[in-house]
Amino acid sequence: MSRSREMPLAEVSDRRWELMAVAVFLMALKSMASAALAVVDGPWVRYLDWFEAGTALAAVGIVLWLMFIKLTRVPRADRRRFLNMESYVGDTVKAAMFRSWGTTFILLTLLGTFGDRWLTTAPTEFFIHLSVALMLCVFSVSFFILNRSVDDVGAAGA
Amino acid sequence: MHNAELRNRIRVFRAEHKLSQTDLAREIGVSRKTISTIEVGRFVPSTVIALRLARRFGVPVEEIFSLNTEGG
Repeated sequence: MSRSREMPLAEVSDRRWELMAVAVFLMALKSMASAALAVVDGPWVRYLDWFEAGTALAAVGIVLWLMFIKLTRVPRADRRRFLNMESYVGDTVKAAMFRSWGTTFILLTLLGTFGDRWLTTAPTEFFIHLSVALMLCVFSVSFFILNRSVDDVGAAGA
Repeated sequence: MHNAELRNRIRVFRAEHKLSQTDLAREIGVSRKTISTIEVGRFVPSTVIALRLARRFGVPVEEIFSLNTEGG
């Protein structure tokens, strides 16, 4: 009997969101490396290139694994329910997305208003990667914090 | 997500029925984390989940969930 058959669909759905947050965090690291590559020169470039490729590959690997779970381990009849399953973790994803959107909006507004006065030397590419990195980082870190604190509560009450 | 106005007696009913959070979660089709966060008032469940809980314990929803009128 496979692990997914032992594990209820709701638990699989929670694990799926948690893995997705890990993939998003890896993409945030990849974007940070891309931002650094836009402004850094010298021996660091080689290491940053490797780091960027490694994080991108790891993130893609996780996303492919999530697709594999959805397509092969969830019965066809349950797929719609699986994608729209109500749970605390699902709500946490929404809360993290809201924080991420708000932070990115504030950053872009500040950059749009004051960026030309403060930061004139860095290329546009740097700001694009930095904004994406911040957006993804706020999402994943918010998710980890909200989810971790619940684990403590759950362990006490189980 | 947190709602101080909504109280619940899930932990009491679980104890009466000798159910762990994991068992209850399996029976009503949600994750254990969802049950634990409902219990501590951190997650407000949908009507569907509330009705499934009520059906599992064989009581009306109002016996499990109530409004905290002192706090409101």
